[in-house]
Amino acid sequence: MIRVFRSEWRKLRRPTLFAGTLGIVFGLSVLITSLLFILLDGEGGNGPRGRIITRDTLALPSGLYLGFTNFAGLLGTIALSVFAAQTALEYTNGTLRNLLVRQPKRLVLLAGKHLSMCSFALLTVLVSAIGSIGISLALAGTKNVNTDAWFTSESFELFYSNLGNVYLSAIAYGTVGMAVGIILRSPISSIAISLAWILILEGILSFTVDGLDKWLPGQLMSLIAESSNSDISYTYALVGTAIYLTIFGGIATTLFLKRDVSN
Amino acid sequence: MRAVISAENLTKKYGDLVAVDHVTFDIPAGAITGFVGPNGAGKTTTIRMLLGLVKPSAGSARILEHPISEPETYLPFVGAMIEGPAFYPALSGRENLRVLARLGDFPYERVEELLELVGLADRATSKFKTYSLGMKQRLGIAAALLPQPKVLILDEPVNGLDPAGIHEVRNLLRSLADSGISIFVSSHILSELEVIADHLVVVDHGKVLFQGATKDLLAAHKPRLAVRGSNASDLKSVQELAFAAGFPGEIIGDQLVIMAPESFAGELNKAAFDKGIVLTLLQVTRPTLEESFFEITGGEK
Repeated sequence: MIRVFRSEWRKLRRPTLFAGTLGIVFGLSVLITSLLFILLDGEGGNGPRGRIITRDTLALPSGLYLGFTNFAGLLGTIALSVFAAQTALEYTNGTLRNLLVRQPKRLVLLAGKHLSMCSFALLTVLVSAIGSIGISLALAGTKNVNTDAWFTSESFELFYSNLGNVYLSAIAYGTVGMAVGIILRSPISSIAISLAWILILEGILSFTVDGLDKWLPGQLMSLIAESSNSDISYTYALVGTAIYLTIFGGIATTLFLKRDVSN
Repeated sequence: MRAVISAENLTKKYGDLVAVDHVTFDIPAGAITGFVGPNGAGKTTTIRMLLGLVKPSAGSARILEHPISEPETYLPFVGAMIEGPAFYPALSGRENLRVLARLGDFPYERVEELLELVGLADRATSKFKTYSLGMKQRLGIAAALLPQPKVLILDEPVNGLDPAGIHEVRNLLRSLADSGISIFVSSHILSELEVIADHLVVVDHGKVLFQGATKDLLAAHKPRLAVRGSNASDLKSVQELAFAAGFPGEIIGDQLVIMAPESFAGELNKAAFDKGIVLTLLQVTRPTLEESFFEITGGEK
């Protein structure tokens, strides 16, 4: 397993993927968090989907992490894309056969790949947290946001729980991406279909059908990062996501173990 | 003869299509065995089954005495290149080998040795996607040699190589075989296998048509005498002389080709001389592997 993990990291650390992904994550987390502060007094809202997040809300102990948790959905889709591409490319490049000759225990190979990508996702979450928290601290003063509560023990505890939840959400998205990558064996199809479902179809469905969002995987995975919303509890989101991951993961693992490698 | 690879009734079906049909063969230790067959004959599917990548529909095989249902028991001692070299385009040649070295727990020094061996040391840092086909092929061979294998399975290793590259690979395979490595190599370049293969397994339409020593296959087919006379019109008379002796011949261009053993050459020369015909060419030719191959596969059709 460790050998697979280290072998996978030789691929993950290539500059275009490593620096490119972390750079995008850092830039976007800074941008999204900046908008939270820059649009603070705007009429169009400063949160996701036009939500208005007030100065008082930002001044709460959780205010320091609002930009970070708002970014979690996008971070999830980035994780999904990386996991899906890294998995499906093994099929399109034909490199899976080389890997299986050197590591014939398919379950070990799959677990090692997943573990390495989860560690990569952890890096993206940390970079995003640094970018978001850093810019929040920099902009709070310019927008007269009271930051006293940000430096309390309650706020520090929230840092760990938010970090953990955003990470859980990211690896849930990533695991779905990896599963779709194995099922479809094409990076473009895997990413396009997954993102079209999560970003477009789920959005339309949750707006048009009342109460449906509590059944949609993308909505549930996002909610883990946000901890909860008015309709769905954190535990519900966690259990719902676990059920979806078991189904997707089960199908993908079975296919990976049983399917002939003929490309 | 000790077999390093033994297949028994190995079969692979895809729906109604039988890609490999009850294939049975033994690959001897310490030799180069050629795996010959036209495109679609089932060579690559057979190789994939031997490497645990494709599950057989029926039959069994053993590599180094381990069943192919347990690839983890023998693959640490097997090097393979299947259906052309497949690597990560954005990684350098060195990084690509290091990915596999790390996975197989081989030291990085081995990577450097192999880059040197296949002549890629000076391009080790270039991305794989910038390599020529020949360089990609050589990197594939280097990857196959990573584990210092007891058995080397190569699918079309000289594909895309220029004559000098083919010569290098031929010498490399020979030296590896001489060092005790058993090599199972598929190729559609029959003239290449004729030069390097000690043994052959000939397949077509998923079935084994011949297996044995290369010399046995070549010897199984009749030698020919190529004859040319000082006058083209003499060939007809020589053809009649040969036919009378029981050896039919065919005039092809300015030559008469007679299906006859070497021992008939002297007799024919004397008979022609007695009829006042001067032969300017009397040459014994053996059938090439390609001719023998088409004879076998054509016979089956």
